[in-house]
Amino acid sequence: MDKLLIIDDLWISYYKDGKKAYAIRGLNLEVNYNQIVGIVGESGSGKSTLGHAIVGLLPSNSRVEKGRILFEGTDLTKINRRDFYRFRGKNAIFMIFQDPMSSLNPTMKIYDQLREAVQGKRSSNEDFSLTRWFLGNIRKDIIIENKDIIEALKKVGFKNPKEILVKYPHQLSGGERQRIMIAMAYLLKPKLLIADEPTTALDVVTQAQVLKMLLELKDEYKTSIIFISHDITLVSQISDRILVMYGGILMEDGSSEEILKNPLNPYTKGLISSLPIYFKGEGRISPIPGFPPNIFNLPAGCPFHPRCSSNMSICKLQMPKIKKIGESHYVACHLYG
Amino acid sequence: MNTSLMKILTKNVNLLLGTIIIMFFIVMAIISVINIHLLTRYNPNQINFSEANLPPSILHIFGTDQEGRDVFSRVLAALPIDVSIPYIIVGASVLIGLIVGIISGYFGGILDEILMRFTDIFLAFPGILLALAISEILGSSHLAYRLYFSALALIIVNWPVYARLVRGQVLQIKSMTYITLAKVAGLGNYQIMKRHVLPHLIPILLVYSTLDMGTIILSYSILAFFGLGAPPPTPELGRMVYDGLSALPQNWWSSVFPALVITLMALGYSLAGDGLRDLLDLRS
Amino acid sequence: MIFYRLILKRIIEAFLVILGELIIIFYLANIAAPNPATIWAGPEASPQQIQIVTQLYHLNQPWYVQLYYYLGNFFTGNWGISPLYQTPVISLIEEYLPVTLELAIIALILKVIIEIPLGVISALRPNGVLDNTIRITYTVTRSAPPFIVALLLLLGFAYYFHLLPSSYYMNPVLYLHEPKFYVLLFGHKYYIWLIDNMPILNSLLVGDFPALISSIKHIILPSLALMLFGFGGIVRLTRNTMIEVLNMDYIKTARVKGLKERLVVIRHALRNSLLPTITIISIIFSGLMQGSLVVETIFNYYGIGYLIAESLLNLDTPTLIASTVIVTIIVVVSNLIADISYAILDPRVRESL
Repeated sequence: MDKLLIIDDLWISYYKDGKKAYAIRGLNLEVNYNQIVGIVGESGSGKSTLGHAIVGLLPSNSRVEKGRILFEGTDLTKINRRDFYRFRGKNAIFMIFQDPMSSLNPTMKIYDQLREAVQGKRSSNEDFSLTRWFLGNIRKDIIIENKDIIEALKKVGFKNPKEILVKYPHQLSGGERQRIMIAMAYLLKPKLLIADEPTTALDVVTQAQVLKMLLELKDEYKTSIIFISHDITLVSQISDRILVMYGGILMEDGSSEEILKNPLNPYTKGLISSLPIYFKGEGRISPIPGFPPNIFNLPAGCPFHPRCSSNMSICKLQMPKIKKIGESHYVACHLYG
Repeated sequence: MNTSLMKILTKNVNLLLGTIIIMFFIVMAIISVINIHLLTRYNPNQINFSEANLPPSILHIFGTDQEGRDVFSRVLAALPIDVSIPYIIVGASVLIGLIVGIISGYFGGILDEILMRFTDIFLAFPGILLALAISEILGSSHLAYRLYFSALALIIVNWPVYARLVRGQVLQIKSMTYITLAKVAGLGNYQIMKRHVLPHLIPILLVYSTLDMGTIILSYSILAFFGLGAPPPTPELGRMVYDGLSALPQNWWSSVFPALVITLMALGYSLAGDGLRDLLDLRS
Repeated sequence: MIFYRLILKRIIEAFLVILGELIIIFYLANIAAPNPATIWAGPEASPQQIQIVTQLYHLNQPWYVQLYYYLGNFFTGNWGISPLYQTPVISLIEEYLPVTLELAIIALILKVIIEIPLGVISALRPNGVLDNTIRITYTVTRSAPPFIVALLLLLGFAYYFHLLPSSYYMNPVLYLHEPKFYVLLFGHKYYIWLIDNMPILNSLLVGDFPALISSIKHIILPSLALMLFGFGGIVRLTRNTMIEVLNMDYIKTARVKGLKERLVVIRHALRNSLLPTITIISIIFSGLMQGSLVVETIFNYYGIGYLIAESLLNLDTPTLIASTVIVTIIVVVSNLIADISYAILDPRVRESL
């Protein structure tokens, strides 16, 4: 059974003002086909860097120092910028971002932007062919594309798709824009969709709609999704597996159920107990004391140890290694050996 | 204190280079005023036809012009005017623009509207053309004073830019510290508020005026080119370029060297201005 | 298309600005001037001529009367008589202006064609070798007065290498025909007078090949010199805008859709990076018109810059005034066109207006 995505011992460094820091240290991750994996973490955890790294969008002051990102067998870290387009978009990897306000080109109509998604590689690879133009093939393509576009818009809940098509992004609300992005996903039918905090900027009702649409995307096109968020409840609503990251390190990795019912890593426990939902009405909500770290200023050893209530002396010295506990439950913590 | 100044200068190549160039010209201008013969043995205005049109050599670094005058000495003699006039022009423009801008931006309302319309009309003129027209018309009867009218013309054309700039900043400041201002309004009077508003304006004015110096040097040289500067025989860089035109192509040095000097002077301010901008804007 | 309201509003504003400028010029020439009569009559006028001029331009009368006649004269094309050339100013301008328009437009096109790609190249690899070279180059050219470039080009190409002609807009031996086409209507010939006095355009329209070649040869150096005046403004703006744009989320989206890098840059990044350039295009054009003063003087190119230069050097104030006003009007109009184009290209602007 081939895996869709395998990340093997990934180390990503980041330079700023001449100083070097690691955004991701020794990460291992596997994503199956037709699976939703959630990645939870606070700021500085490296979760966003991970998403960008997979799709080849690391900023110029950041690079993969070690490790591999295997997408259907191909190591993406070895692909250069110019050729990366082959692994993006149609039938490959797609990504939607946190801020719908800036994700769409303000000077292009929605129709044109969606059409780019449908045409995908053809518009960039194939040259304009006179014969096809004469034979009317291109007109047929356009008609089919339009049909696809309208259907996709209906699927994401637009009642009058034709009205939306001629609009510009600034004429739509945030929720509508994010739904357009999802419509793009429907058109591209990617094998892997990375959703980087897609609902953070939206209201709760739209949030729920977006989650529902992502699930439908997975069901209908067998798209795998990597859902990145700082909100573990949100993630747990649609993910099959959950990964918890902190300070660039994978803290815990298990199925949604296991993580929620039986969190092993103190950080995970802290995340869950600081949530109102799991609050049973006794005592008080206990947030995790302290603040998330700055990656340029990481403590030695386990990055969480300054805030950890189960802090041991070894936590200051050594980074914990990932250990397998249970069938598909992994944890990195000195409490477990 | 000196070390932090040094640090600033060395980190910022632009600023360093620009300042060096500016200082260099100021020093040369001062020496030229005090005693030009410290730097050259020739009299800038000494006409000597037997030495006319000599190419650049060890004797005449920049060669001689059509009338036998040493170009290098003339350039030196032109420096005091060409270095100081831009300061006067920019200084006055900044002053006027500052006052108009603060009043307009601070008080707002109809006063602002009227002032801005007025400013807009001036801004719509292509600067140099208006300056040329003003200078020519006003100075037509008093040829000896053309220099002053030209400076005046450039000031007239230039202050609206500062007025707009200042007003924009004042509007921003107004919205930012508005609450604080409202509190102070209970006690303070306009003077106090001007002391709160003014400090915020200094960085941007400094950057802009430095860059503007470069532009004014160029504009003034164009005015001088057309004869609207100091009356002959007082040398002036722009005028020297024009005078040298009729000697082309054999005698290229009497036009080219003054033009190069103008370029260098403007470059100094341009670099310094860019350096200042990097220094100030990125911090605040 | 609530668009038309916007255009109308802009046109009215432009008109008001022009009116304001006319008033300022009027104030300058008739009121603030030390001796308006001499100004209009010329420095060598005899007392009788001065008297005639005073009558003609109503210089004795109160300012509002003068203003009335002034504006009236302006709009009817009565711009005075040039003491230097002894012809009505308006015919002078008719003769010289189109030449400069042609030159300026070509220089503008050259600027845009060369500077924008340079800006893009710079932005694609910031602080790289190309970027730094380009940046150093334009820092220097930005500070260069118009004479230096013109001089260098003149000396280099015209005199030392004898590649290109050094003056005039066309070989003086050839004659510039005016394109007059006629239409046969009801048995009569109606002449349609197209653009006049634009060397290249005219020769193109008339089909006069030698004239065309000659005017092209003559325009190369001046247009290069004009283009290089203030070279770098657009490069810098495009570069900085593009760097900002390339960091925006929608560029990430475009990449992630699977578009090739080149398409992302051209279709998405460039389109958004060009907008600020359009904003300053009228400023650039204004600068070109001003630069033409010097360039045309150096190259003896008979355009309005040359005319203004001559009128300055010879105290021909009526011509000076009229030329200044005309150039100003052209600049205001170009600003108007730029504003409207901007609104067409940036959908966000349309709403807020």
